[in-house]
Amino acid sequence: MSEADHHRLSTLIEEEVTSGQIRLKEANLKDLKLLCRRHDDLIREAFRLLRRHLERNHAEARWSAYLLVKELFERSHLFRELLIDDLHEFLVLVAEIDRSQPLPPPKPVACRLKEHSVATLKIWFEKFGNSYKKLELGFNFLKDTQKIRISNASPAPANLYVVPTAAKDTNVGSLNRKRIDRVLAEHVEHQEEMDSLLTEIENLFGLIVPDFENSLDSDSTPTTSSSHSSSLRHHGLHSSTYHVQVELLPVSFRVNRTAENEAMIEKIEENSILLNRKFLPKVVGWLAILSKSGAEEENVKAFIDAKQRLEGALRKAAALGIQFARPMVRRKRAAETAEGEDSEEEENDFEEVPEKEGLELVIPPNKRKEYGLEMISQNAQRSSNDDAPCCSKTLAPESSSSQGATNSALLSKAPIVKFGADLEGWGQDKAPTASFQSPYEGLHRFWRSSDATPEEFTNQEVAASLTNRAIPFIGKFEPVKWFCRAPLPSGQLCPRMDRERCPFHGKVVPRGPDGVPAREDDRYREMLEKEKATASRTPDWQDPALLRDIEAQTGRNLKVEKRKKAKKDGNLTDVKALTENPRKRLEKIVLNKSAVSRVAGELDRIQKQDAAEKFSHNWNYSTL
Amino acid sequence: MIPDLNGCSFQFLGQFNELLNVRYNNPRGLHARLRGERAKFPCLSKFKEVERTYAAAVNALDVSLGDGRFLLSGGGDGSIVVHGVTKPSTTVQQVYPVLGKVPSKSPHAHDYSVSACQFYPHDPGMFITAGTDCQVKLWDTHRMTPAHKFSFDLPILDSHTSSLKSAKPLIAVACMDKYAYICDIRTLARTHTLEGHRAAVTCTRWANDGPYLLATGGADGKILLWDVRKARSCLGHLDSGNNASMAHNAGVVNTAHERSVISLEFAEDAHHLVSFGADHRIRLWSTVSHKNTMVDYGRVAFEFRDMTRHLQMSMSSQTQPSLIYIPSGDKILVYEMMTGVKIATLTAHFGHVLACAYHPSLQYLFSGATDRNILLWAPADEFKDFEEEMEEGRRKQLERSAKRIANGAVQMQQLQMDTWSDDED
Repeated sequence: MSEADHHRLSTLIEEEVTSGQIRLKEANLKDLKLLCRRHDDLIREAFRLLRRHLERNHAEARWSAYLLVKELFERSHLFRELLIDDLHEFLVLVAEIDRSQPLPPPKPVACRLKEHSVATLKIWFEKFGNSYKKLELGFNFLKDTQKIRISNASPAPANLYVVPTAAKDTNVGSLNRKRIDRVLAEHVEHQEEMDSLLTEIENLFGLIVPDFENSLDSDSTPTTSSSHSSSLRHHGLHSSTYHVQVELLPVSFRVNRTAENEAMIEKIEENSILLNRKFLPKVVGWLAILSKSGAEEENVKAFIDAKQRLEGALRKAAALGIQFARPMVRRKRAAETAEGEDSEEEENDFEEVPEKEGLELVIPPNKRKEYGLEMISQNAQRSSNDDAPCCSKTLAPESSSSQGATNSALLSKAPIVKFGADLEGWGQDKAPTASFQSPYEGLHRFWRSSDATPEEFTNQEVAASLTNRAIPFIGKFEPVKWFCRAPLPSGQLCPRMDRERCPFHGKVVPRGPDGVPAREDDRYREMLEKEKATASRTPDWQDPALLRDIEAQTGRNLKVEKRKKAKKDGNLTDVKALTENPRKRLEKIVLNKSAVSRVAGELDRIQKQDAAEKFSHNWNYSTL
Repeated sequence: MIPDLNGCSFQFLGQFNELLNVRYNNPRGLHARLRGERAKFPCLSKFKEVERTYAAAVNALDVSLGDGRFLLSGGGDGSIVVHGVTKPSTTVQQVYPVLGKVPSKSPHAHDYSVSACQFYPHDPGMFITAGTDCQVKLWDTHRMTPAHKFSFDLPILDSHTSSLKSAKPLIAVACMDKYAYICDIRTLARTHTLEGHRAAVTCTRWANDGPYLLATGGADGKILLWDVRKARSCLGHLDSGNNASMAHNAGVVNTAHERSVISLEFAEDAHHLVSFGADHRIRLWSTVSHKNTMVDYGRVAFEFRDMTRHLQMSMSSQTQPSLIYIPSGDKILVYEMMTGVKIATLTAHFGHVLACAYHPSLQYLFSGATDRNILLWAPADEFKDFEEEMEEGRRKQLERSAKRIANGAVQMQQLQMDTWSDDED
């Protein structure tokens, strides 16, 4: 037993408890058991630690701690004695026997914990009940007093909750491994073919365009050429600092097909089509699978290299003007039309439809009767003749041509106003009134007051709306002609053009050529603001540049470390996140103290008002 | 239903006591020290247990005085049970049987929970129970039927009868209506009403040093001392700070506890009174000077919310040192009375412990709790020789079985052994 053992014990337990897993890791468990075997003190320490973890407000932590307790309970007499001495508390923590101390969230884990712990207690009772009296008491207590139904079915065997080390995360791991193996096998299968294609194509490039790489490179970077000053002087030029920039446009190295290179180009074409269609998608797919299933870095790197090589070759082919991107017939056709080689072909896509006989939308006049359209047209004609007053434009009275000229000139000037109720009575003496008859007039069928003329009730507002029209005056937009011209730290003046107020420098005021306000009071105000700003700034000794210098010289870290909240919970489910739901968020708003007091105050006020209205007269009668 | 008293003829212990009375009862003698050693570290008895019969909490316990053959208990459902404690048996393993029971459904039982129960000190043929149904009942133990009922207006929290031989048979009753009452068994009448508490009276005990001296504790935190002979019977109150003189008025603000007094008990030496309060304190008072002796017992958990409650603590009898057993939460705390040293913490209950009763001649402790158990705490080394014998036998058996295992025959279960073995593979 030593300090190291204690440390190891606590780390082991901590690791298991914060794993958040349903099951324990066998390796850790074995280590723990080996440790506990060594000394009784370690068992006591383990018990103390586990007991503390059992008190945590997290069901997953309690679950893991409970599993560990279970393992040790089966093994050590001392541990059994310690636990049984504390059985009541233990049951409160894992079996929820005290209503006032419910198990913590997450709920499913808590339920599982409760169920299993009760079943486990039964097993313990059956196994050890004879020699540990308190265990018997506890079991009877659960059975008789708590009325907890203890199922006869034994819980899942303990080893179900221990992950064997060898088959570590069996399911996922093995599946991934299989996938990776399959990909590697496929790669080996195709690698030879791909490599040969690639080398072939690369060699051909070399043959067709000598030093292909360099010439491709040079087009992107501007080339600088200078010549010796002495030689230049011979040509009558004084300066040697001429830089002639020759910019090569990214021209595709279209190769002319000749009898010589015909075969090579065809070969390149063939290969690049094969690479593009068959191998590129394959490599991309393999890469995706490998990266998903977590393959070794080397494999992934090899695949990335292969992909890059492939893409490079295809790029070169494309630069040579070789069409390889037509894996399907349809796409090939589209590519051709885009180039405009033969556009008839696309038209052929439309099916030829024969002219349809029978359904005619335009009916010839001789057939109208046949279609029953005769009557409709006649009716229409008659009705149009009957309506003499017509507002149609065609019927407007023709004016003389001279008048027309002035009119049209005036009309072009005249503002256009929408037709409204005010225009209806335009120019009439008596404005239309919004009137209605008195509601009391017709209350009786026969009797009517003699003097009461049928007076009209008029509503002034409505009447006004019938005669007047409000036209809002918007005014004319005047562009801003001035700048803010406040001095900037860069030495320039603020170029913003705001009408009233610059968002950075406040009110726009007249300023002199150096940006200083022309008026005295503006100058004073600006000075005050500046003082305020310097007061709120960090003091000089906290200047980051200065601090950096000091740090560099002294080699000390002057930064005050922000205290990081240690994340204690490891892989446990975040319980706080579970409780973070819309209801809680709304509760925070609706039920916060100020809101509640405000609402309560309002309700009080209403109640007082009601009471005052109802009972305010009570005292009037009391003064007798 | 009727307890078999004649069957319990295990009386030599009592006779033995009588014979060696002088030496045996010397409070500082060898026997007292031996008994003290036995009573100091009780643990859950492996061999003896009390028959389980309750379907409710066990509220009150009492061991019959003198011979200690009976254990009386009252339940939270109003039922009353008498267990025979020292019924002889041929084996060490023993369950103390139920001799008589008044089930909660019986018309004689208390309607609500029983708050206190006590054998009539001079004769276990009669016992007294008090209940929260506002009644105090006198029972005939043979018939298990009540002989008389005293009715009150409010629930009774505690009752007590003096065990002094010189004392008159009076029952002190602590009632929730702020008064303590005294009932005379001879006349079957309520003779006194003791007025002085400002809240419910939670506990009451007759003193050991005088037949007429009574102490009551209340939910107002006061402990009042009474002399029932006097017209103005309140002698005074106890003050935790020893500030006030023993003024003859009970209206002074200084109290014995800051919150309700939960339990009271006079020490056997008649010079001390122990009180336990809801303010988590135990105080030891001198009955001579009526002052707080300022013994510090530390903080003692009290987990109930309602203050008008009586828990039954217990004192060891004729032991050196004197011990107190205090129910606290689901534990029982053992203190040395005079020094305030906590000697042991007894944990086995699964609910709040409500009552303790000490068995003077066997140095057993009985405890009742809300988990419906009456547990028996015996000295740790009670059957040591027997256990050793058993251990020896077991070892021999193990050896034999080990031989057999070596031969591949049978595997013996070793329950109290470590079983790390599967680590080795």
